[in-house]
Amino acid sequence: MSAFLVILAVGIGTYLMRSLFVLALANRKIPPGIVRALDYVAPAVLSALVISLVVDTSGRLTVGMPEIVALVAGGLTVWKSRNFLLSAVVGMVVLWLITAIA
Amino acid sequence: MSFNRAMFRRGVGEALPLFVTVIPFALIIGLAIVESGLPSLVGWSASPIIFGGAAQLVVLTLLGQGTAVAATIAAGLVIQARHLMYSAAMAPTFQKQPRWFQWLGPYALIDQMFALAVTRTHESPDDFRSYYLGAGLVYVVGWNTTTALGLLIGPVVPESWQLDFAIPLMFMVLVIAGIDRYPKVVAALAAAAATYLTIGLPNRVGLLVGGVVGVAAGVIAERMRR
Repeated sequence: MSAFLVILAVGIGTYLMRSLFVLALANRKIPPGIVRALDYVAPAVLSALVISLVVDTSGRLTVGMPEIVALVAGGLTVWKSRNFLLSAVVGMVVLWLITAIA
Repeated sequence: MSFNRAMFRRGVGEALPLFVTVIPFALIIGLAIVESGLPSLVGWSASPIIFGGAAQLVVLTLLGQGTAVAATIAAGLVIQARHLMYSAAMAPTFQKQPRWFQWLGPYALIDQMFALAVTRTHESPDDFRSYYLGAGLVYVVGWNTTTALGLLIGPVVPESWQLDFAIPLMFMVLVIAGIDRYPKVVAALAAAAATYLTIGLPNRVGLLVGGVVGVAAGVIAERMRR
């Protein structure tokens, strides 16, 4: 039962964090400087997320050379094509090919 | 206020390929529920209640290890704190939305939804809402069903498929796809460096440090260019 209460607490907290600024700022004027700064939330947080997924807490890479080559391949594909799915497929196929050859 | 069917379909269509990359994670969550020793229904209830893979994984793992209640809640909330930034970033767009959507929309504001929704902030309020509802539906239905399936399938998918690698791959693809001017490159690189340097901090606080440093770096780069 305490496990469910923990889940409930984290769930309520998560909703509050996701909705806080949307609801609090609903009828307020947001300064244009802030709006411009918020434009950088996506590249910053998503990039931080990538690092937290490929580096462990002691600073070591959790992925090897095949994954890095796959990331570069996926990155180049999306840069040229702007196609999310194609880029993910290219990345995964490159990973599987390198793992199969090596 | 009206509903745009074409934009709804576009939301579904763009969310689906992104969702495919989430499936391995859903299977890992299923596996984590099994390994935590919690009753399946309690473990799975985190999917609709928390609706966030990383936090679910941490909470399930800590509960399975018998960690103190307060410490487990704190760890889960710190991991979710980046959603404060998503909420702030989306606030200007949500301002033009009806009240019910301002309450409902944030529930689905997960990493992938945010990554998709920021590409649509220039749309009209009706078009944005229709798109968001389509994409959100994919994630809400998809996440709850695949984590339930993960309870059965998670323990048997071969590790050699390395499907979990699809998640960092997809987020990196989204970062690059969203870069339309040089200060965003600065923001992404500064965030990556700051996260790397602070990765050892407890509860993955480094993720927040990285986010804040990245936004600051982007703003500074923009000012210096003007």
